[in-house]
Amino acid sequence: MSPPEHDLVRSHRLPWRVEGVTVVRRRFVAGVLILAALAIGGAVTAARPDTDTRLASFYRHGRVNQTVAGRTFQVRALGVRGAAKIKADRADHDTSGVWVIVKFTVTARLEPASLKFAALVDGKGRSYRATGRFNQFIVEGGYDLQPGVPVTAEVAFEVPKAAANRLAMRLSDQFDRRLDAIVEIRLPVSAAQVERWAADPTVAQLSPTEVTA
Amino acid sequence: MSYGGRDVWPRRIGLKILDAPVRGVVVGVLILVLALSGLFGGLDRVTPDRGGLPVAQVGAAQAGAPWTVTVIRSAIFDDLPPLRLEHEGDLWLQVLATVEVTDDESRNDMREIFTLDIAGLLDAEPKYMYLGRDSTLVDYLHPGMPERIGYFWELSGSAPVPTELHILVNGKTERVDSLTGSLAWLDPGPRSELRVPVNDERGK
Repeated sequence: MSPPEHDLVRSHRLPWRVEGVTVVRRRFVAGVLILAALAIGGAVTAARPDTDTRLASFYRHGRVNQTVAGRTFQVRALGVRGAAKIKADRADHDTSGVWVIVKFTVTARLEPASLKFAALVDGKGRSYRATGRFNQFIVEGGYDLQPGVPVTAEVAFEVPKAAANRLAMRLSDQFDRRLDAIVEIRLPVSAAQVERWAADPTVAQLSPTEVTA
Repeated sequence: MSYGGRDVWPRRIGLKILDAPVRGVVVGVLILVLALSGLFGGLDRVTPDRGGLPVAQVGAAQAGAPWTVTVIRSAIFDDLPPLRLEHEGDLWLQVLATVEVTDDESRNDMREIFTLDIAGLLDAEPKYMYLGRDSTLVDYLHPGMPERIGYFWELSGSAPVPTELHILVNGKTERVDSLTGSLAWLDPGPRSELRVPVNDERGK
């Protein structure tokens, strides 16, 4: 077996022995390509949505007197009122802000469901949960809604007076609302209404939660 | 050393490094790392952290996150219906404070606000938290709506009755959780401290 011809072997190697200018140029090009790949990778990573964005909830928007469907239930807000004081659980409850009371009808769609989250959101994105100062089983996961059986309830929230005229109510059937539907209903409340509610000495009472005929 | 063509200087340096004894290379690398670290302040003298917390005053708001806290007073009681002591003869240690949620949403972790530096507590967390407004148990507090809260810890009857209480006011930091990638309130721990005289309300 004859030894391999030197020039043939050389042609398969990296061109260490070619002219210096070629080597420098190739290395420069390789360096640029590596940097470009890193930059593109970095840009892709930076442009990728963060975890909270990827797991964000899906909002179903609506207005009062409009039926809005969530994933497992549908809601129709019937109205909103307010007060400075509420009587519930055999006691009067005042607030440093104002009570906002929302009346709605909720119906499970295909299988039993229960509301586990209710909050009002103001214009700055601040979220106020339904009060826990007295029992509100309908939004605490304590009321099983049966499919096709509408239930009407009033739920109370306390919010700062300054935030009460730009509110939306959010309802969900999940404690963990990531990647799930949230019903959001805009509430028509004016600043003048809020002032009247806060000044009204009448103690409000929530209407009982009941199946709607 | 040549491979038949012109030597390229980075290759020459690389080959010299490869030819050098391992110990020399290691020592050289360490010296290089030290030098680079020194260039960026790694060798600067460090003032040790003495662990001191900002000292709060009774009645003064401690702005923090996710809450702002104002400690109003502390007292000790022997009987306080409808609160129920776990052991007869124990005492109630009360801290009265105003708490305002500075987060953007309602929170129900108010029981994590205080750590009491005192011996004889049955539990580090308060057994009861009552809203001053209507004496209901504290559930959620809402953003921008400060509330006066009475915190109650059960203190063993065999423990010395305190005349002064050392309170650590805890806080949290909102940051991306390195495990889940989600924004969360993490790193709970003391953010300030204060000493409050304890009023003796036993038998009153």
